[in-house]
Amino acid sequence: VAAMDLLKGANADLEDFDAYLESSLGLEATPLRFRHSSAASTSGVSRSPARGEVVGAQDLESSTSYVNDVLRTLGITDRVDLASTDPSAATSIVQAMYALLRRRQRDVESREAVDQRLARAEADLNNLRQKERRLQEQLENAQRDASQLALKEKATAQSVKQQLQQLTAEKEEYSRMVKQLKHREAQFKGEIRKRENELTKVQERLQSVLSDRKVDGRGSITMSAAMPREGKRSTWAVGEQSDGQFFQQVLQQYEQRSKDLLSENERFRELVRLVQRSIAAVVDSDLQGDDSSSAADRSELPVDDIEDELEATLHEKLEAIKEYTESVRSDADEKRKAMEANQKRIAALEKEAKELRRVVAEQDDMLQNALSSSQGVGQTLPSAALDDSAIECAREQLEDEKRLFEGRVKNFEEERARFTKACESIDRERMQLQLARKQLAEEKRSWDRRVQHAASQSGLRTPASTKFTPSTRKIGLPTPLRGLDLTPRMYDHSPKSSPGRRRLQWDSPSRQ
Amino acid sequence: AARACPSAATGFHARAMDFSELFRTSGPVRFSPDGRMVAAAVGHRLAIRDTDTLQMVQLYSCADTIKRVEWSPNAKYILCAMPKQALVQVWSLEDPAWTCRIDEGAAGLVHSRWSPDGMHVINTADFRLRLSVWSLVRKAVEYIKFPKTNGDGLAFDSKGKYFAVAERSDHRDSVHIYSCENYQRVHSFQTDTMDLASLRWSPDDSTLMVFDCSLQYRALFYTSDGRLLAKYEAYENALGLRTGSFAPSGKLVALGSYDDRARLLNAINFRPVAELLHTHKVTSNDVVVYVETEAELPTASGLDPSSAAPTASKYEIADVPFALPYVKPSTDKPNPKMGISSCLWSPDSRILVSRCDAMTNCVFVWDANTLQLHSVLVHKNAVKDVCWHPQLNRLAICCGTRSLFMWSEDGAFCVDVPAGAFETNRVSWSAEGTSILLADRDKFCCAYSE
Repeated sequence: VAAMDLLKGANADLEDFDAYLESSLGLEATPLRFRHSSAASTSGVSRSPARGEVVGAQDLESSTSYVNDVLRTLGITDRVDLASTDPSAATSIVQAMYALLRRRQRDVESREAVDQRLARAEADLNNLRQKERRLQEQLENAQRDASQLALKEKATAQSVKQQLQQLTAEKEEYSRMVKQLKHREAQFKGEIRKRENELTKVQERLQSVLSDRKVDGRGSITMSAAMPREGKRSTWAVGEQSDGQFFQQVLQQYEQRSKDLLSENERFRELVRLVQRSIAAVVDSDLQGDDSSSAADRSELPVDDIEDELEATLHEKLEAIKEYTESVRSDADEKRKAMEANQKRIAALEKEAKELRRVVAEQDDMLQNALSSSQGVGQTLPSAALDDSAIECAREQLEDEKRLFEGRVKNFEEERARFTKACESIDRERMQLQLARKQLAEEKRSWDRRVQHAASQSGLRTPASTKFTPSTRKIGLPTPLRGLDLTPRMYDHSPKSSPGRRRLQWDSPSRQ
Repeated sequence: AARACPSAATGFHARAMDFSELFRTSGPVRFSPDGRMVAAAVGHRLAIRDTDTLQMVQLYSCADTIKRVEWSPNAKYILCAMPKQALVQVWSLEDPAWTCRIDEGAAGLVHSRWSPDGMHVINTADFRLRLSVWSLVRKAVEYIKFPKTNGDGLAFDSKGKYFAVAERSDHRDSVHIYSCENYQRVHSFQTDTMDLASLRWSPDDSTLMVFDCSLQYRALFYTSDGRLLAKYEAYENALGLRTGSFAPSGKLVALGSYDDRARLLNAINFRPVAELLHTHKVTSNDVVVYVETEAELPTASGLDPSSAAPTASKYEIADVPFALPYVKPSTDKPNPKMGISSCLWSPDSRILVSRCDAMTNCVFVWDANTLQLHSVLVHKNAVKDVCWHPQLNRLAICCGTRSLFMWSEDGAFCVDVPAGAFETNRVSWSAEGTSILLADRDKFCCAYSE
């Protein structure tokens, strides 16, 4: 930006120079630059026809001297002598012009170079800005991706935890099953061992039996007398009869079982009917008494047909009951809450009342003490005490009010002082401003006078020549007046500055 | 809400029980079915004593050491089995001179029992070769070939009219039903088991419950004519059922398995009703936990002075949560110490008592109406025997120590046998429930309660 400022300044300087030449010399820049007018035209009348100003002989001298001065300041060695008719003067003029033109060319070139540099810088700046924008976008994308990845990571961590839990559960299950299998295996082995032992024993026994032919496999019974038969002797149950009896018994058992099941079924039906009736009684308080006396009792149908229906009716009745109980409960809750709130309020009020009573009692005591100490009377005068207390209250109130009032008054005083100070400062500033204006006007007048004087003395002399240096120029309007900078600038409206101050601020106090 | 330990509770409190003297026995001791007499075998002699006075009523002499004693259902005869000699001798109480001797010969003898009508003796031969049904009235014998198992594969129905035997042929299990009158086969049917382990009649004789061996959880319910009513498999690929029993009312079935759970089935439609989990920690506040602790001894008067350091026990109610003593079973031995080893119903079918082999010191008492754990009794030693009172809801427990533990819904208490070194291994009630038989390895005594 500084470079640009400089360039701009340079440009501005050049433009200003042109403009200045325009304004003060009454000349146009372009004719100087591009018009290689013949040497003849330089004899005194070096002005554009559009100007309309007449430059006389003394003007020519002054302008020649001026031009030479300018050439000197520019560092061009050639001098112009417009008055002489020497052909070398023409060449010198031409050389001077040539030098000026070259200078101009160089300046233009430099300006173009500067322009190019500026353009390049702008292009670079654009590039950088674009790059920055791109990087910003990338950064945002990257951040978004990062947050998504974080989310994904959390999700995967969660799933990992779940799977770990599953894994431990499975491991436990597995170890349990392994233990069970081991038990079974041990049992198997034990059984096999038992069988083997038995087998060997059988083999041994068989061996002994085979070797010992005498042994009789049949057992024998020896009794001293036959056991007397007990109880009634039932008929000999020969083959089929005993079978028949057995199956009769089996049939009887089946019948018994089905009877039991039927009775259970009946009892359950009765239960269901009872439940239905009681729920109906609860939900519909107005019982339809006629229904039960109808001839067709649907509840005796087999379960398949009425199961769904029963379930549905039961459900809706239960829903109704549930809603009712919910509403009742919520009412109860509300009432309870209201009651609690009331109780709390009552408790609070009671406490307050107690407090107040205590305060009143205290005040009574204090008053009594005060009375007794001042009057020396041990008796209490209730009415007088009351009056006194009232008076005390009133007095206290008044004192409070007075204090408040005084405070307010003080505040008002303070504010007023502040306001007066502010006004004073404003006045001061105004006066200073007026002074400054006056000075400005004076200076202006003096400059004008001087200009006129200078102009009268040397024609084109400008008052600003000594003071004109491009490097000390500020950005903004060209102004010959120094010290008073009335250019609009950003002022610091910090809270430190008091609100009474004006916007205008003195920049350099030296001028005051 | 915790229940109070019995001190003055209704009806069932720790009254002092009367104990009889100690008598010698070599093993088998049995109450008679009417409870009036006790039979005790001492070596090869059989002593019959009166329950109340424990005076010897009869004394019989057998040929060899008696290994098993069984009263006939009418309490008039008693059989003594001597498996080594394959002999069974039957004695009559009314007629001491009456003798009966059954010799099985080469077939051998593993088990011997009476039939429900008291007129037949059924012997199980070695290697499951045969069942010989000896009719003592006709002096004749019937054989049933290749029965499946000795103890559990044979079941009489409640009326004693039929009996079911499990057999196996052609790699299939089958159940054969014999009439008890002539022991002819009435019906037989095949069962869908891998290896039938146990056979039970329901209390109303309508259903036969059959379960598979411990390698597979399968309980099958058949009508007596062989129609499959239901099949229940709680889980697969693990060790299965250990025990099962019908409730006396016939409405519920309890199945105990190796996964430390007892399952209750509805006996009408055979659907599972509940799964009773035997956890190692009791956490519910409704459960009463009785813990056996040492009690201060009163000044010993009447105690055997030669007894070495007698200790008394008492029950204390412990706070919930309570961790039960638990032993982890090993995985490399057959018949591991885990699972529910017995499910016993109370006489009114309202209470179920179960024992878990992983927690041998504990007895679990469940309420069959609420299907919740009612109480847990924790002892210092492993529980040896548990027995219900025949009519009331009272439970007798013994742990191989001097103490006898009694539980009822009102509470529980311990009673010490006033003897020196007495290790109660078996306990049984008489038929009326007035006396309890406590048996050690070589001694026994009776306890009387009102």
